[in-house]
Amino acid sequence: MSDRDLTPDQDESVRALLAAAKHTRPAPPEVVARLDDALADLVAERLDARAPVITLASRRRRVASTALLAAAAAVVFGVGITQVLPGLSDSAQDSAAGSGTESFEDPGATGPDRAFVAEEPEGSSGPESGQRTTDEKAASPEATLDSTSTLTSTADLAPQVRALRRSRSLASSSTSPTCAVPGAGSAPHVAITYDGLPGVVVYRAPVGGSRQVDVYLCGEGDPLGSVRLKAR
Amino acid sequence: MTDLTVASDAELLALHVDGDPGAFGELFARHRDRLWAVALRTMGNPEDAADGLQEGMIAAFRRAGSFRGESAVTTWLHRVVVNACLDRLRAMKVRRAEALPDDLEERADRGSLVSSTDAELDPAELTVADERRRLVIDALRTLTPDQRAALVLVDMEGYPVAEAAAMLGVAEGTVKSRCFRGRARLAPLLGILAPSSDGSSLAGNAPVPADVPTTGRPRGSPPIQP
Repeated sequence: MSDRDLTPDQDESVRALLAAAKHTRPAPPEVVARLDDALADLVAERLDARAPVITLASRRRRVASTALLAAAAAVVFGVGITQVLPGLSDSAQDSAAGSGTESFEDPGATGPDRAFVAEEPEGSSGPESGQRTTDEKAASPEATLDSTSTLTSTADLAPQVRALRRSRSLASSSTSPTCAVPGAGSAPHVAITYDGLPGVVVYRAPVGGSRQVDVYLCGEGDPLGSVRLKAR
Repeated sequence: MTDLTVASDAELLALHVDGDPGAFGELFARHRDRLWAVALRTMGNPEDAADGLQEGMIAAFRRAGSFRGESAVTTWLHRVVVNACLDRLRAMKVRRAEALPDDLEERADRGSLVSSTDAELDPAELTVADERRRLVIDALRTLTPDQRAALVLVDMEGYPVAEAAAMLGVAEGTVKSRCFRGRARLAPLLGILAPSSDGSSLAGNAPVPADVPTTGRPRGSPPIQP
């Protein structure tokens, strides 16, 4: 086809018709809504793609290392208690041996508690293992690590230490090392966790009607905080 | 924190590339209506236009990092959306014969449709204007996707040829050629240039309109001189 098919006037007429047919109204609401939905999906997809790479990996590492430290502290605490208290040592060992015997020699045991023990050889994971861990804690010396033994940096230290003392008499504290705390000496102390890390609360000797309480992380020579409480 | 409403298009695109979750939405909303108009006229119907516009938006969202700043952001956005529409058209294998209304030749005999603007028309005339607009849209569908896109950008939306060329990713001469050929194809369908009886007017010279005065000697016997 020749480019000379249209005269300038004819060409201009076609252009005028095209210009008059221009769409001048905004996009319909349903189209806008559809685009907004698609855009929201894109943004969410983008955020999801970025988040797990860094956050989840670091979170998993943090949880794993915290759990490892807590487990190590629990073992040290348990060993210390059994060495200091011979009677407790025997009963604890008997209890542990009994549990192991039950789990391996009584496969026909029934009931939920039995089921948890019976699954031990499988190295089970999942909800059952979590409940089993809780059950074992209740029967072990370190079960005294209740909620008041869990301190955190997000709240004032003094009320947490007071709550700990209310729930745990000094008689229940230990003078044996629960973990390596060079500054603790032989003063009575209670095992705690602080922000998920193992530590101890050390009760110093009363002086003038009050007693200093130091909070240590295991392995640290200096207390991360100290509180003065009334001696009682 | 950057106020997205006052940021330039280029700033919004850069913020989006840097991970700002709201920057692209602000940018696209600014140009959405005009992009919609281009998509609608290029695709020919709202359903396909919505699909094309959405695909273009998704492509722009994901390929924003490839923007080099060699053109305006709006030019780049148009390019992405038009390309998405053209891709859809090609995938749909739209052919001129498939899109031709049954009565196009009949319509082509109605004479020129150029007239005043809608604002000057009464309701009856507005109906005629709507019909005329419908005729133009139908006629556009007979063009190749490339010709259609060029005419939509240049003649409908009024973009300069150079900017349309940037949007389409072709040379300016290519845009001019597509526009010229596209208009030539549209002319008989719009009644500006009547097609030949066998419908092959586009392949030859333009037929002579009936009301053009002849320059030749009248046929028949010469008048008898007294």
